[in-house]
Amino acid sequence: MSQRKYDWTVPQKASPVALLFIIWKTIKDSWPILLILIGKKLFSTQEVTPKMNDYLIYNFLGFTTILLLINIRHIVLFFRFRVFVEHGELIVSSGIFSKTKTSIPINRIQSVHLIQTYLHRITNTCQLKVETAGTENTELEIKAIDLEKAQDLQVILQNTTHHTERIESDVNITGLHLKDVFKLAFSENHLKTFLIIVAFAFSRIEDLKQYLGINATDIIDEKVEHVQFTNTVLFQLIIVVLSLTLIVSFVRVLLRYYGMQIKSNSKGFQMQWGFLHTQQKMLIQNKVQLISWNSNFLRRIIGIHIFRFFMAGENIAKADQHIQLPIMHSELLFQLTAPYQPILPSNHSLAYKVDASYGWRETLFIGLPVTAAISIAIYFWNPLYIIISIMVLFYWAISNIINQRNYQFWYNAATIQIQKGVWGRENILLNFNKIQHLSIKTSPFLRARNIATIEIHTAGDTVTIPYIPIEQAQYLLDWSLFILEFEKAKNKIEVKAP
Amino acid sequence: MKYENPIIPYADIPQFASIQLAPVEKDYKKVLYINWTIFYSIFIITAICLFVFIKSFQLIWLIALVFILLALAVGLTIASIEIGYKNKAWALREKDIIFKKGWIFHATHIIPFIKVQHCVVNSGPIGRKFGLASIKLNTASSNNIDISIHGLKQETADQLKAFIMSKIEADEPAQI
Repeated sequence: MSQRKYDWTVPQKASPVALLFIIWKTIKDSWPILLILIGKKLFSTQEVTPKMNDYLIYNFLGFTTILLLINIRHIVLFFRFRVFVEHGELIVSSGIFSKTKTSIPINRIQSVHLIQTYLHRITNTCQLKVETAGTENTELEIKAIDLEKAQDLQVILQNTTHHTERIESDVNITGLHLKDVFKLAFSENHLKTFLIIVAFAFSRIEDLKQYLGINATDIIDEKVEHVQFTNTVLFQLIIVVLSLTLIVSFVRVLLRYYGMQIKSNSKGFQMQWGFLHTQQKMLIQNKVQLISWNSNFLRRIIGIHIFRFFMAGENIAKADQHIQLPIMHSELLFQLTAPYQPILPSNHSLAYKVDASYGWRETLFIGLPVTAAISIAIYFWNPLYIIISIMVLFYWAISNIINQRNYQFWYNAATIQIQKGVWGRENILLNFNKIQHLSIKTSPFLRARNIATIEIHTAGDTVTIPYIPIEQAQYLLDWSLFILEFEKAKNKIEVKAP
Repeated sequence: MKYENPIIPYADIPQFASIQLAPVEKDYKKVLYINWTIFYSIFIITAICLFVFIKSFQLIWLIALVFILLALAVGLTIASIEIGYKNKAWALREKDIIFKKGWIFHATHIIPFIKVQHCVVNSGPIGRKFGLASIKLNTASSNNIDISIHGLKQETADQLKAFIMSKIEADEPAQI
């Protein structure tokens, strides 16, 4: 066994840099107050006297002191914080008046995440996050810890998880080049980026109104009224919007994927990415619940996928908890899927489709009545606008039909694979042994057509296969349970689908 | 080494759909009726108070509308209790537990014991009067899906919990 740099049986402290983050948080929390005070000073019509200046400074200092007092608990907690490894458990002790000792069994740890901001980089520290399957929250979070110390702990946690396997040296399987970043930026969902820009612009306009009292909406309205919307102006406007969207897409891709490195060893993957925030995440292979790769319409044409690992205990809504990797070539896709499942069912098994009613039921029972109701309301306002609601319904109906036609799934003795999407494609790969619980659902409509929807719940996410023949749904459930409950037998057998 | 890969006929795999599910206790229906009666009584008393003491609410059409909606809700509740009770059933197998529920939308859940993290037996004040309890099973599943079997006898729920716990302990730690 290799010599460790740090003795983790001895309680270790967080880096003093963590104190800087507490102070920074205090300042960050007080910035709206600062903005109000500056705004008052800048836009005040009253004459500024030295007394008023002092009053503003005292106000600011007063608020900051209150915030510091609120955050004093965090400062005391920093000095009381200790972390160490004992009897196969990661122990975290903290607390001011009542001491808290949290034990995390190392074999339950799903992933270890290291994040480096600029401040971390300057101070050679990083933020450390440990996630387990127990909760959606991060089990352990250290705002700043020495980088070497964190990497040492990361290796310990990874090695202790699998005692039996020999560590192989890391193999670098990918890195992202600048041309890849351009390709990714070009193929981004520009509509989504445009909506982000609009949302961002609106929130800033609201900020101006709230903190500085400037009604930017009125100013924009006034300017727009004076503009003559000729074809040239419209064309220029489109070019500006497109360029802006492309620039923002490029920046987003750069921030998300810059410097991406994936290293693979026998235990899983070690990933590093990020431009301003350098993130490093260790994924323990046998803790991966399911995997997916998707591509939008443009990326499907140029062969780019975004790959995703679903780990236990992740909160889907928290972007920093899950990993999305851009896949620029099919070889890498195989390298990433192979440790989870080397044989894709789609390569060897029959493809199954969902019932045709999946394509029109929602349009008929939800889309049509809702559109009818909205159209009646619109009729009394401006009958011409009804065409918009009809067009939306038409698009929805077409999307549903395409979605039903594209939905297909395959399964073999160990895995189920799903492919779906309207314009883009999403592939999901799920090993039966990762299933937590199963359910089969029917409604009067489904029962009348002798079809059912199955839900496969894992610790990472829930996978739904809608509108399949009831016999097939029952077979899939029986087979999943058979594999799950008699897992040892799974590599020795093959079952023909009915 | 000889590699074997025999075909297993589907008929040889245990089939959950052929299992005879056991209904929940008859008294559970009474518990549901009592619970809903309490709920509607509070609602009706509140509505009457509002109509009697607040003049602006004393409108014939408003009173009629509230009571029509109330009658509709009561009707739906009775239907959900009666049909829902008929569809509520469960079965214990050696390696998993099956339960079915729902009145318009039917759902059958199957939970393998090797995936159960822990289980809890609950009993409310009215259920206790009838000696009834429910058992809630928790897995590491990502969504907080309610997988509780209501309307079991207290002894059955306790036995079930002991049985599942013994299974969990045998398979410790629960697989994720």
